[in-house]
Amino acid sequence: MLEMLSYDVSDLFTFGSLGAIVFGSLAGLIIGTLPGLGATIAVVLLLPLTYSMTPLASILMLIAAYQGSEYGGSISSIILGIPGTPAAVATTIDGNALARQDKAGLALGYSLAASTIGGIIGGIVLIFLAVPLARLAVRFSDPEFFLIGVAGLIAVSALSSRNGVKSALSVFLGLMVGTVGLDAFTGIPRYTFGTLELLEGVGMIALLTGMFAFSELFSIITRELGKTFASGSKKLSTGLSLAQLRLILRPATIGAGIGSVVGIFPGMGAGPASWFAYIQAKKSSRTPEQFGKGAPEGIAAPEAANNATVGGALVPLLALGIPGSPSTAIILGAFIIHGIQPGPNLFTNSGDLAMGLFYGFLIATLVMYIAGRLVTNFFARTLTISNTYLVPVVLILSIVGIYASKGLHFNLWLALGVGLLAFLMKRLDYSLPSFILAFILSPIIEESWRRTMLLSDGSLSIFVVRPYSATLLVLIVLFLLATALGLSRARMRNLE
Amino acid sequence: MTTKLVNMLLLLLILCVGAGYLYYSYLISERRLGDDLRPIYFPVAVGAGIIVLSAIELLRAIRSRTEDDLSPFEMPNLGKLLATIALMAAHFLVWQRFGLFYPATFALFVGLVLVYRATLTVREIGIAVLWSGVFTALLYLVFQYAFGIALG
Repeated sequence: MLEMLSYDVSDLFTFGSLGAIVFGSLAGLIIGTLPGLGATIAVVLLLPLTYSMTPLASILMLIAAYQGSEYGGSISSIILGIPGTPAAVATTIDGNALARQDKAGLALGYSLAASTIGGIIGGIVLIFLAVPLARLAVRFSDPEFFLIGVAGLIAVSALSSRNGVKSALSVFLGLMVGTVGLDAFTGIPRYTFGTLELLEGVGMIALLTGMFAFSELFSIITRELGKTFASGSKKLSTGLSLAQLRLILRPATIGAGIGSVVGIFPGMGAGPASWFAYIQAKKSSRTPEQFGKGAPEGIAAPEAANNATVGGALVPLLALGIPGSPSTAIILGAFIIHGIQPGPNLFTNSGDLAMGLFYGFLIATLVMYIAGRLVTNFFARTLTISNTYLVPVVLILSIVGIYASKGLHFNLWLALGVGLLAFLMKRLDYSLPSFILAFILSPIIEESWRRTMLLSDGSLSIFVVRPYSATLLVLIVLFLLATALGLSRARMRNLE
Repeated sequence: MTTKLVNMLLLLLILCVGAGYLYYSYLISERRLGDDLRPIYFPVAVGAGIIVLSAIELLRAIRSRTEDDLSPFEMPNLGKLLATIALMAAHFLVWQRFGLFYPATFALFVGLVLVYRATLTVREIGIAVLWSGVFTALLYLVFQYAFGIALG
């Protein structure tokens, strides 16, 4: 923590860094507001702008967009009853109920205040967990990194889809795509079919954009192309009195606590976190009967939770170099673009950047609050933009983002193919987050496995004799047992 | 076509991809390079996993009689989706062959809006052209001029 006090904050208070945070917040708010477009698309669309920015400014812009879009998602949930992001589904229940009582501004005020509380608590969790976790991870070697990678895959496949086999299949497909390119040990080209563009592997930005932006746009074309959402509300002042703020403090804190913890686990993300928080807030409420009728706690808990997941999701990215969600995977891409590898050594090799990100994260949360107060009214009107115009705008910005990442036309075709496949896979209940996380973890898992086997002369006992790897192994086994127990209980309940 | 059939076709495709991946891994191992470092151990495990899981899911899909699986696999606006893909492909080709990013983007925007509109009047075409021009000009100003990213 002493490093934080010695950090020269003048790096942060430059026009470039603050401008990036403000721009990211506004862009995230507007993109999150639009139904169907969430945090991942917000971060994808801003990525091409990062190439000519400093590492700190570019990553802060993406984090601010991530935060802003989580709050932005609640605007359409509350005003229209249509969640802007999957994470805002729980907010719809009470948010829209309150809006129907002609109190849309009040509902948005609860959402904004709770999102800010969630963002700040998530930021504090990030600051207090990332550094100790990174310090611990410095002592890790290949067996531990292999097990962390495997644990991430198990968590994401167990938690991110209704169909366990398809989720596991998505993991294996992601691992397969991750092996394309030159073998890091021997230099042998693998699965490139003579294509020079694949020697460095499948482009991560092309894959992410195809998988999340293109497939989502294809879904909009087939589902709701003709829709123009109409915002009827005019009373959208988001100010809260002290008494109203006090009313949501407890559920927002509960939600933020749940969101911060859930965010750390790969593959879970803001959607489940907001539901857990909603259920917990209802259980602990003195007036649970008010839930569903516009209860402020029913808005505050899920909104605080989905913003708190942002800080939580950044913990494994910064401390271990492992992204926990598609949005943090794109932020990982921004690190790599600037030649920086997040992970245990980030705090020693680029300490100033890490400290800047911590402070910047908290500033981004405050900027989101100010931006929310000032522009929610205006952004609510973007809901009236027709999808006829929205789809071409997002599509073209995505195309620019893919090309700008490597300057390869090949990646455009790749993203188109991936987008079509992902569109189909999503319809058939495959897990895209599992696929992406497996793709990113594939080289980490393979390389650490091979180095481990070299170290141990092919003996698996290395995982048991090393204290850290043995502990990780026990945790994995416990997680598997807990998941199996949960599944069997659910099956029993279904049978009953 | 039912959801079940589409599901089975995709699973068959995945099964074939898994088998092809395993075969390609075998071809790599034939070269006997980097014997100590085993460049194919991991891919072989992954390929086997794909085959086993897709076979399990395929069997489940064949036996499934749920309402969801037997319902038709609906794809509203399929024509518009295909037109979008065709326009995107045309845009990529023009950009790749002739380097004309901005004119191709202008045309793509207009094309997509016209495909998506339910009715077409001269006024709507004019509005689409106008918005496309404004958007393309903004792209030029932001990427080419402000950020120095050469797109074409």
